[in-house]
Amino acid sequence: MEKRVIEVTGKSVEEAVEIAKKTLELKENEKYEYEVLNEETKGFLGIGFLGGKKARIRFTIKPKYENYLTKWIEEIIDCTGRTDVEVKVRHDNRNKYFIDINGENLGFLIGRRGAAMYAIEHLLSLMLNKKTDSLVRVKVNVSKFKQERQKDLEEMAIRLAEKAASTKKAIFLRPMNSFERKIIHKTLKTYRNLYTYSKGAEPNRKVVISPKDFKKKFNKEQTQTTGDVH
Amino acid sequence: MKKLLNNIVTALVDNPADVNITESSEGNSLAFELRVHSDDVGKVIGKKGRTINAIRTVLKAVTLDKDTKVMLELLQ
Repeated sequence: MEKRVIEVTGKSVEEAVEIAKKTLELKENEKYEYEVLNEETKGFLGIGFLGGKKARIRFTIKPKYENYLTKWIEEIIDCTGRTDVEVKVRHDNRNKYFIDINGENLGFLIGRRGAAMYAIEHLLSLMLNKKTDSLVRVKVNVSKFKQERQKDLEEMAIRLAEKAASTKKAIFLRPMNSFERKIIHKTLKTYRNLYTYSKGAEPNRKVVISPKDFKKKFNKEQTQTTGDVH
Repeated sequence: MKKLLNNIVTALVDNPADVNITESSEGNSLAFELRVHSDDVGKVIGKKGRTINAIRTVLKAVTLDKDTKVMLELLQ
């Protein structure tokens, strides 16, 4: 968990980096950064002779936060006194952490339409971003909730698309978060006679499914919404 | 419960030493009063209350099968 740091000297910066990697046994999936404390300088009459200085760097292996996240989830679950829960954290080696939680009766960790799950997601990404300089994202998935939700939303999108097309009226969906809105937009991308956009401000942002010829018929209303098209 | 709340809040603020939580229970409702450093108030609340509501949601989630009502108030 804690940062692993060493200071290394080498004939050149490149050499020092190589030495540091070997000493700390850097694994392939670990990221590192280094800070040059002293550049190498060539002394009089070649390297190291009369005032030549070696390069010195501070080498740091960037910490990975899988354990940190696992601990948090376990702490939350501990409060309920349950033990039969499996927590897995993956890191995509870029900036995303995926937390998969599996077990029986985990409804409390999902909440209404995923509310508890998104709350945990929000809090953990705040905590993690406080610890790191670069932006990281945390995604929580309880008992494959997101996969099932995606299926439901896709079905709903198709159903409502047909309705919008047959009634020739725009349909406003209930407010959704970005993950859910994206699924709707994606599902209906191939529908030639319809287009989708989002309207309103978070957390009340909604997807609108609208027939293409709706624009001409109701020009007045449409002009008000064009600013929100995404 | 109080420990969880304390850990969540201290992980979010810049001045963890100034986090102060008092707990009071009445019947089957449990009330927490939270005080943080004045610079951290915004952090704990979040954009449009998103963060403090997230904390409330988590507290509610962990007490779901206990039939207790949890309240969280941020005091200045």
